[in-house]
Amino acid sequence: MAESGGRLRRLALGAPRQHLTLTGSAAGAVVLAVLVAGGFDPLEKPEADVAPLAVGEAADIGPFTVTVDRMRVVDELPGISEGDDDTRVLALVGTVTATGTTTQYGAMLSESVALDGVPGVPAEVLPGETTDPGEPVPAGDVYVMADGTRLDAVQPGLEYEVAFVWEQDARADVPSEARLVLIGRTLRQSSIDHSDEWLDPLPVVAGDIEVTEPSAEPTEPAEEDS
Amino acid sequence: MGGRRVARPPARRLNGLPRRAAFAVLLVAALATGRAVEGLMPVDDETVAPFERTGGIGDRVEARWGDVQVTSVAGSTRIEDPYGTVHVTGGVYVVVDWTYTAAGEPQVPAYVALRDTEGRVFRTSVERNPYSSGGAAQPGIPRRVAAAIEVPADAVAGARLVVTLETNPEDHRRDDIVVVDLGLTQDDADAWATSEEPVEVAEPADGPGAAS
Repeated sequence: MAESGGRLRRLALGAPRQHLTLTGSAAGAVVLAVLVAGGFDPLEKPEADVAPLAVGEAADIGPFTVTVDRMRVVDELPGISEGDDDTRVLALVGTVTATGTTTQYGAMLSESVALDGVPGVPAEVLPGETTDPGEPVPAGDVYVMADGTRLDAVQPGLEYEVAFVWEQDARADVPSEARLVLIGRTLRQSSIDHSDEWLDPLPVVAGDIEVTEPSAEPTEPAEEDS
Repeated sequence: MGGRRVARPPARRLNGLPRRAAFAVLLVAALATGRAVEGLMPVDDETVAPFERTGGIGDRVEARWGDVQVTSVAGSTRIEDPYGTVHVTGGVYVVVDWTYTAAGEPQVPAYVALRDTEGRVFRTSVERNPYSSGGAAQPGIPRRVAAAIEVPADAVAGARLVVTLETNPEDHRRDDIVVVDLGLTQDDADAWATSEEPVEVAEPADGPGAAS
């Protein structure tokens, strides 16, 4: 009959078409499942408006309110940092409060205040990581002025007078001005575990601040009562 | 005769494809229904809330992973941590001594915080708010530990100590947390906010001397 052999041929012709249909159905099911599950969050990175830095005025950067008061070069900050012949310390003094109702840790605070374009201030680079040399450099550490101890947790409802510190290579010139960048964050639900977290770091405040040298202004000893 | 084979009607194969498509549609519909039901149910807060095991000072508060007994509470504007460093706060340091006994297997109560009456949470850290668990404690052997936490003076009255294993609050879901009312009043807050006598924060220690 004309049909004999036709079955094999039909099978041979039908198989790839069947696979195609199957793949199509699977892809369609995956797309539908993703859409039903909420779809992909768009990878949007909105450009934040960068406000000019106002010395002495509080800036809300999300998890913290930061007030920048003064910046000075110190050969040593008693109880905090002893400079040597190779390095000097740039200290930004200001006040910090946590905006929320729970403890915020110091790592996020030091990452929130950065120096931009000051020669001789290298970013701390972890092994295996690289950083763009043009990127603003976050503070190395934050210290409480009252006792010279490291501020590793900011408790809600308390105001801290702090020093953000950077080490500068002593071979570089002492800057007369430094450009500060405050990095803001937004409280939103993490797409990974749906917990509320401060995410999306973006510059929100930037501007120049005068840097005073040690000879111009004597360093205050870190008195416990200060 | 009559055994002549007839080719399988193409309808069967054509039927197979819609069946697969129907299965895919059903699968997606099931997922959508599950998601809709999940959205309607109050799964977010109430059903995943941790189980609070409560008590007061001196009470042995039992949890799934062990028990906690607060032995004393002190306060000042200054503390001396186990390394001899003095910390000064603009608020009040609340220093809680407590004993912890693991149940079943070695455990580390890594999450220690004060919760005030407004719901604010003040957690321990490493330097500024010193607390060390001393590592995993063997089950049945009491370990004395101390936690010092700085809080604003208005958080002292009515503050509670919260202790549990997981450091991430997200992981407290459906687990036991110990909540101890420290019995603090506004008088305590006022006295501690003016005290400049450093309170010593003890290192963790096992064995004799621990509360029975």
